[in-house]
This record gives sequence, C-alpha cells and structure tokens, in this order.
Amino acid sequence: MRHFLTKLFDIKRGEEEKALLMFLNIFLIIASLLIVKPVRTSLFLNNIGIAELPYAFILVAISAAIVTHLYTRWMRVVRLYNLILYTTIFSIIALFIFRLFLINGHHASLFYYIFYIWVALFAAIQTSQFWLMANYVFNAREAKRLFGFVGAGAISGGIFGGYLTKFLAPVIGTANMLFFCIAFLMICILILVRIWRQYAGRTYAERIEREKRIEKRQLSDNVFRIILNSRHLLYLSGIIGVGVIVANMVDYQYSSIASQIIHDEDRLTAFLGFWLSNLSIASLIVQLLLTGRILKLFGVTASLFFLPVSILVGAVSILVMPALWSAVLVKVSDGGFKQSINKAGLELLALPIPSKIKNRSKAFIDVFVDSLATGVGGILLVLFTRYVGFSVRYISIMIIVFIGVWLVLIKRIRTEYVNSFRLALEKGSIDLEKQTVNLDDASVINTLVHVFEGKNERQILYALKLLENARHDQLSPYFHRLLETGSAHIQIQVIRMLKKYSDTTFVPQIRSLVESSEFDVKVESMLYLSRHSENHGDVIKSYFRSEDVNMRIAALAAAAHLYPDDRDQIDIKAMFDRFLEDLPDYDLPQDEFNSIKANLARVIGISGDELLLPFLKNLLNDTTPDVVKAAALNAGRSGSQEFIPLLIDKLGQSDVRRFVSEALACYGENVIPHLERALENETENYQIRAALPRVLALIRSQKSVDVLINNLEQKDLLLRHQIIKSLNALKGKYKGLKFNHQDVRSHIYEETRYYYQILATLHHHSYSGGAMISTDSGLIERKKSRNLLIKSLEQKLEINLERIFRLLGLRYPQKDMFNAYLGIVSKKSDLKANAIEFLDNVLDARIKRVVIPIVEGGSPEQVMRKTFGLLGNEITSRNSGISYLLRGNDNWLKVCAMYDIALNMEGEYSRIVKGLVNDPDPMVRETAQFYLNKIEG
Amino acid sequence: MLTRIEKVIFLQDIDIFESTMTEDLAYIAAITGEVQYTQGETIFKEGDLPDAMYMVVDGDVKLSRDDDELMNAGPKDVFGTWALFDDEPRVVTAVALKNSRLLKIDRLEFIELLADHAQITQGILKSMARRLRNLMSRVRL
Repeated sequence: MRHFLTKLFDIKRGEEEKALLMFLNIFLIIASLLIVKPVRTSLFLNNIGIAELPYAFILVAISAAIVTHLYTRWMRVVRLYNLILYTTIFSIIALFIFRLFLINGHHASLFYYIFYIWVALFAAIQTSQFWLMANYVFNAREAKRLFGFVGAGAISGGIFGGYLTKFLAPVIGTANMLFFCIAFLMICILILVRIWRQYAGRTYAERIEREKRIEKRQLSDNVFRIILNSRHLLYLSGIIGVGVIVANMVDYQYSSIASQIIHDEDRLTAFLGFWLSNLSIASLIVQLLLTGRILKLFGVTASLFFLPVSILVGAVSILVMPALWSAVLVKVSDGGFKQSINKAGLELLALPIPSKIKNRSKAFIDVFVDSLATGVGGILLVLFTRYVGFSVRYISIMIIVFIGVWLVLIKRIRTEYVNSFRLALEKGSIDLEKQTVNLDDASVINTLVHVFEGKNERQILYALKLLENARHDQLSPYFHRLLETGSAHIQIQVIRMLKKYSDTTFVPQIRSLVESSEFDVKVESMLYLSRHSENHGDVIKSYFRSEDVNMRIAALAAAAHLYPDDRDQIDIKAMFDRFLEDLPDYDLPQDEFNSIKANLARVIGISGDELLLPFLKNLLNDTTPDVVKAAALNAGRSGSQEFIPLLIDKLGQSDVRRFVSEALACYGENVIPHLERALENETENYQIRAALPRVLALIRSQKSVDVLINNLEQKDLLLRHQIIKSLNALKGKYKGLKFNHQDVRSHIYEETRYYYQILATLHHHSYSGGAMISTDSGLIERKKSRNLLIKSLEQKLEINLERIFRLLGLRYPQKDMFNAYLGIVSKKSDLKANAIEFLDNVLDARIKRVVIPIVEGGSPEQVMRKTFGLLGNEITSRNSGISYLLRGNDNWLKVCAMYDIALNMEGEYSRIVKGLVNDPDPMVRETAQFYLNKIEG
Repeated sequence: MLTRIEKVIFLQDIDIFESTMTEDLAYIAAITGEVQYTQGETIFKEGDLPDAMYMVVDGDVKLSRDDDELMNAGPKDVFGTWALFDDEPRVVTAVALKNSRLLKIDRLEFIELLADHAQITQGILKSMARRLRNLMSRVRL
C-alpha cells in the first residue's frame, strides 16, 4: 500500500515523512478555515445583513493593507519559524476570545465586522505562511513532484472541514465549532516544530546565510519598492490579482445564471450545494492524479495556462449561449484547476526568489494583492452591471479581456522564472561583483598614485597597463621614481608608456638604463633614445659598435624593431652577419651563449627579414629548450610556411609546447589544414595530436570550429575531451562563431548514451557481490581490484558528465551551463535542484529527455524508464558490462576490467582478452597477458 | 615484477595521490621503477640532494637522523615524498634493514610528467589543500 501510494504520488524514499507532515499541516489549516468561514458568514448575514456585505469587503481590503504593512516590517526582525509559531498562537488565543464573546449572545455590530475581517486575514496569512515554509522544506525538484500531493491536503482539508461543519454545527452549536479550529491549530504547532527541526530549519539558515554572504546590497524597507524592482514579483502579483478579479466575475455569472434559471429556493440551494461538493471532489481528483504529472511534463509556467484557458472556453460559451450548462462549465473550469494545478504552479513560481525577498513580499502578495483584487473585482462588477448596463452574458467580454492580460503575464513570467534560477545558480557558485575603472575620475588617479608609491609589483604593473593608452602628465614624477627603483618589468612598462610623452627630462635616466643587465630594459631604452634623436639608426649603430656582446645583441634587437619602418637606415642582414662573424671571438660560457642564440631568434622574428630565416631553422632544431622556444615564437611571427611541419613536430616536446602552440597560432587560418591533417592522422604521435585542439583554440576562425566539430567522433576519450574543451575556449573567447546545433546535439546523445552504459556497468558491478563473500587469501587483492574498477567507473562518469555539460555549453549560453554543472555536482541539494529545474526550463525537449534523467540520478532502470529507452539497454548484467568494457575504446577501463576478472579467475572472457594481447597500448597488452597467465595457469 | 596496474593499486594509498584520477595514476605508474636493496644498503643519506620518493613493497627500511632512529618503513609505507616537490637536501638517512623491494618515482621524470598531464598537478594540489585545511582546523587557525 505504502509502495503504491509513494509510486502514485512520485514520493521518493526518504521523502515520505515530510510529504505526509506537510499534507497534514495544510489539511488542518484549511479544515479550520472551512469551519470558521461559514460561522463568520452566517453570523454576519444573520446579525448585520447581506446589504452590508460590500462594506465588509472594502474593510477587509483596507485592513489587509494595514496588516500587511505591519506584518512585513515584523518579518524583517523575526525568523520565519517564530513568525509562524507566534501567528498560530495568536490565532488560537483570538479564537478563544471570539468563542467567549459568541456564547454571551448580544453584541455590537462592531464585533461581527471585526470577526469577519479577522477570519479573512487569518485565512490569507495562515496559508501564505504554510506555502512560504514549504519553500524551505522542499527543493525545486521535490516541490515540482510533491506540491501536487501537498495541495491535495488543502483540498481534502476543505472537504473535511465543510462536512464537519455541516453535520456537527446543528448538533453542538455554531460557536462550539471554534473548538475544533483551536484543536487543529494546536496540532499544527506540533507539526511545525517537527518540520522545522527536521527539514526546514537548516535549509532556511543556510539560504539566509548564503544570501547574506553574496548580496551586499541593502534591501529596501518598502515592500512596494521590492516588488516594483523585481519583474518576477511584479508579474506574480499581476497573475494573482487578475486571477482573483476573474474568479469574482465567474462567480457572479454562475450565481446569476443559476438564480435566473432556477427560481425555487430549495432547488437552487440543492443545485449550488451539489456543484460545490462536486467541484471539491473534481479538484481533489485533478490534484491527486494530474497536478504532479502535468507539472513534470509541461513545467511550471505551462501549467499556469490550464486555468485561464479553461475559463476562457467557459466564458466564450456563456457569451454565445448563456445557458445553465455554460454557467456550470465556467464554474467547473474555475473550481477544477484553481486550487489544484494553478495553486501548485503559483507556489512553485516563488521558489527561485531569494529568501530575503520572498519572506518580505510573499505575505504582501497573498494577503494584500488578493484582498485588493477582490475589492477591484467587486467595484468593476458594480460599475459595469449597474452603470454601464452589462448583462450577465457580456460579463464574459470583461473576463476575456482579463484573461488576455493573464496569458501575457504568464508568458512573461516564464522568462523571469528561468532568469531567477539562472541568478540563483550564479550566486551559488561565483561572486559576480565587478569593478569598472574610470581613468578620468580623480579618485581613480589618486588610487593609482597610491599604488605607484607602494611596493606591490603586480599592482604597479596592473596600474601601468591601465594607463598604457593614455597620457597623464601629473603622473610623470612617479614614472621617474619607478624608473629608478622599479624592477626590470616595471622599467620596461614605464619606458613603453613614455613613448607618448614629449617630456625629454626622462632621457638622461633612460640613457643610464642602457647599461642595465636586463636585455629587454636595454632594448627598450635604446628604442626610446633612438626615437628621441634626429637620426634613429645612428643611436643604435653606436651601441652596436660596443665591445660588450650583450650591448651588441641588444642593439641588434633594437635595430630589428626599427628595421620594418626604417629599411633605408638599417641593414639588418649585414648587422646580423657581422654579429655571427664576431660571436666566436667572445668565448662565452654555455648559458650565456644559449641566451644569445635565443635573442638571435627574436631578432629574426622581429625584423621579419626573409634572408635571415634559414638561420631560424637551425635554431628550431637546437637542443636547448629556451632557444627552441624563442625560435618557435619567431618562426610563427615570420609567417613562413616552411616552419609549419617542424613546429607541429615540436608539439610533442612538453617543455616547448606552449610556445610552439602560440607560434602555430600566429599563422592564423593558413595553418588550419596542416593541423587538421595531423589531428585526423591516427598514426601521428599522441602527444602531438592531443596538443592540436589547443592550437586550434588559439585561432579565431570558423574553420577552427568546423575542424574541431568534425573531429568530435574521436574514439580516444581524452582527445575528445580536449577537443570539446577547445571548442568551449573558442566559444568563450570569440563572438560570432557558429556551432552547428545538430552536430552538437548528436554528440550530446552520444555522450549520454556512453554515460548510461558506464552507469549500468557500474550498477551491475557494484551489486554483484559473489566473489567478495569468500575469505581466501586473495580476498584483499580482489577487493582492491574491484574497488579500483568501481572508482575508475565513477570517475569516468564524472568526466563524461563534464563533457555533456561542455557540449551543452556549445548549444546554450556557456556561463549558464557552467553554473548549472556546478549546481549538479554540488553537495548542496537545493543548488542541485535549482540547476535541474533551470535545465528543465531551458533545454529543448529532445535534449531534455536524455539529460534530465541522468542529472536527476537513480538506478540505470530508472534512467532508462525516464528516457523512454532512448539510451538503450545493452548492459543487463555484470557479464555484459565487463564485455562492453573489454570491447570498448577506453583502455584504462579495459585494463581495470581485465585485472578484476583475472583475480576473480573468470575464464569466460578468454576469447575477448586473447584479441588484446597485441594491442598498441603497452598497458593493455601487459594486463591481457597477466589475465591469460592467471586463467591458463 | 609488478604490472603497471598493480603499481596503480600501490600508488592509490599514497596520500598526495588520493585526489588523482586512477587513470592518471597509470601515467605515474609508468615512470615508477622497481628497485632492490640488500640488507644494510643505504638508499640515501642525510644531506643528499633529493632525487626520488620511495614506497616499500617488501622488506623494511630504517629512517634515521644523526644516528637517532625516527621510524621503520614497512610494506606500503612511503618515504621521501617531498623529494618530488622540494629542492632541500634530505633530512634523514634511509637504510634497508633487510633485503627490500621498493617502488621509486624519479623526481625529474615526475616533473616532466606533470608538464604533460596538468590534471595530475590538479589532483596533487587538491590533496595538499585538503591536508592544509585539516592542519589549519587542527590548530584552529
């Protein structure tokens, strides 16, 4: 029975208690309301009269405004738990007092007004508080499944309360019915204590704490402003308000048509009573059987369309044919969905709103907006029926107009709902605090001065970079100081900046820096001095004539800088040859000689003189990594195609790879066909192939994207992973590149299919305990081999999931998918639930069908069922899982599986393993042999 | 001789590798050599330059400083770990107490491996961060 109920309502293991407690809590609250409301109405009608009822409505709206104002202020200082507790205790006391007054008999009219207003506010606040608490008891995913069940508690509580009043009020007296309410509310306090301690308290504290940490902005004191600042809340208020107005009009149409057609008072009462009970039952059926499923299938916002669309059908029917059946149709539409699907959908909409905002605004919306809309609905009805002369039939026009507004609001809130989840995910992972710097701002300049006066090199360099493209004469004194005391990096940066300054007071200082031991300081100083002299070439040539080899190579490098624009004055080839000619005379130590060679490579690259390129080829084949790095970078800078094959070969060398990659990227689109060929060549050195995607990621070109996408089918998973990462890098860095959605989607399917196969293998492997029961001496080894396989499978799932999200990042906004991924792998269940709900709303239906079941987790059978078998069922046992691994493309899993079956002496895989003894991977070969030796003795 | 996967099983127990993916341990296993020492043979001396870390497969190794015995490393025990990351000379002397079979990871080969497999560095950093956090919580920093 328990299994049947949990399955029917989709309650998962571990959720039973909280779901039942929440069901019971709302059951008792609504039962109390359904007892107290008829008492209130009958007392008011008997003692004050129906003519005064509109005034009671207006007073309720005014009181709601005052109470919500005080209530929201109170919420700022009181924890939610205390708020609910104090409100419930206050309600119990109030009920006692009303009961005392009631048994005394004769009262002033004021008493009945107070009682009427109090009941209205009690109903709104108590239910609002319950749903607010539900936000902390359930995370987004649980709420989507369980709000249907919990909502059924409200409807059945209504039915129960109604019947209890109907049967017991004549027996024990109307006033004594209040004792039931008191008893129910007392039980609610016990439930509250349990729920808060077990489920809501920690989540509430965590969320408030997290929001406090992230949200530094002070929240406005004014709840109106909070709502106006949030489109999400604004639309939510609008939907609730319009819903209440339409409900009033529907009620008016239904009652009017019924009373026009049925004249006999008893028959009319019987008719209204009959439909009232039927509606409650219909609502309960919808709630129990459909709400959860509809929410899951169509999502939160789509479920909100059910109520207005069905009312629209009823309203059109009345407009066309104002008969009793059409009146019943409109009422059934309203009653059937309002307290079921629509109520659950509305409560779910509040889930992604930050707790601090939600706590302050929810009661306002539930109490004030609801009361205000009731008042507005009443005024509109009076206006249009009495003064404009609308008949009951034409009220439908007003309903249709309001439903139009309602539908627009629902459509708009969908975007806000998804955005709120997006924001919640972002805040759960990264601090988005951004800084902007305005260099014209005096305070910014003061800050820069403060940095220049300090000793933090990183900060000084950052500040200098900020100023690189601008002139700030008032900073000149600081540049003098930095040239004198700063590090080589700072000196270089200052000299580069000074190019823009005509101020010649820097010349003597920079002239002395030519003597610096740092090569780049020398070069930059020479360049500065040459630019501040009449004949650029002469300054450089004078330094080149020096005896000091370091001065000469620096002068050569400075000449190379000037050469492209000053070919008349500088003969770089002649200077280069001269230097090479003189070099043997210096008898340099090896380190210094290598440094000279690296600088010669720079000279060739900077000058771009084709006559020097053959020498660069020699340097590329040098044995010293520093020389190769410089040669590679400058080969790329030269743009000469002849270096490409050599550079691709150099990618295999880890110590120079980064520089070679940059060099290849310098070729731009021209290098892509070469890279593509090497990537597709399976006989190419693996280290080279693995480095190629990173090179492609450095080239901003659609061709890079196309080559990488075409190679996504690589069997090697590490290579595939690298390709996907490179695609992510391209998408992240450059705008305007196109990633073929269809291709990406098919690869997402591929990856999810692989995920499922590994999950199924892991599942069957984890639950096959046969070999572990024995206690022989090899048990520890077997346990270790089994754990290694399990751990490896788990790690493969993690990597596979990352690949799935990286691919999703190519199809959807990358930042969103990254944040969703962080939410999914987070240990915080609410973050995970937010991430799943977010994905559920943004992924297209086809991708959602395979991705959501995987991220939701569960056994392979559950995943397969949820994906409607789309992921296949190849792995049905441990044996088929092992065979899958042995035949698969993942060598590491192959090795782990072989080791495990070898220690467990499982000989049935011999035929497959024999085929692996000549595998190209040495580890696979070795383990295959190990297995065969074990099995064959 | 241990196979590469058997070495992986050994490496899994070293705390600095606890956050390293099992597949990445296979790369480390590829540069892990097996060495034999006879009883009384010195593996390294106090003040030597660090060149490798060791793990005992079979046997017993005495670790001492200034002739004071600090500990005995038995099967599965690891010593000289920091040699992989630190240039400081050895602070202890390691001598085989009986014929011993050890696994040895050469420092230079290890550093070269890290250059090719950034994810191994990531795993090691994770383990070190965890260690540091534990240490900080112990001294209540």
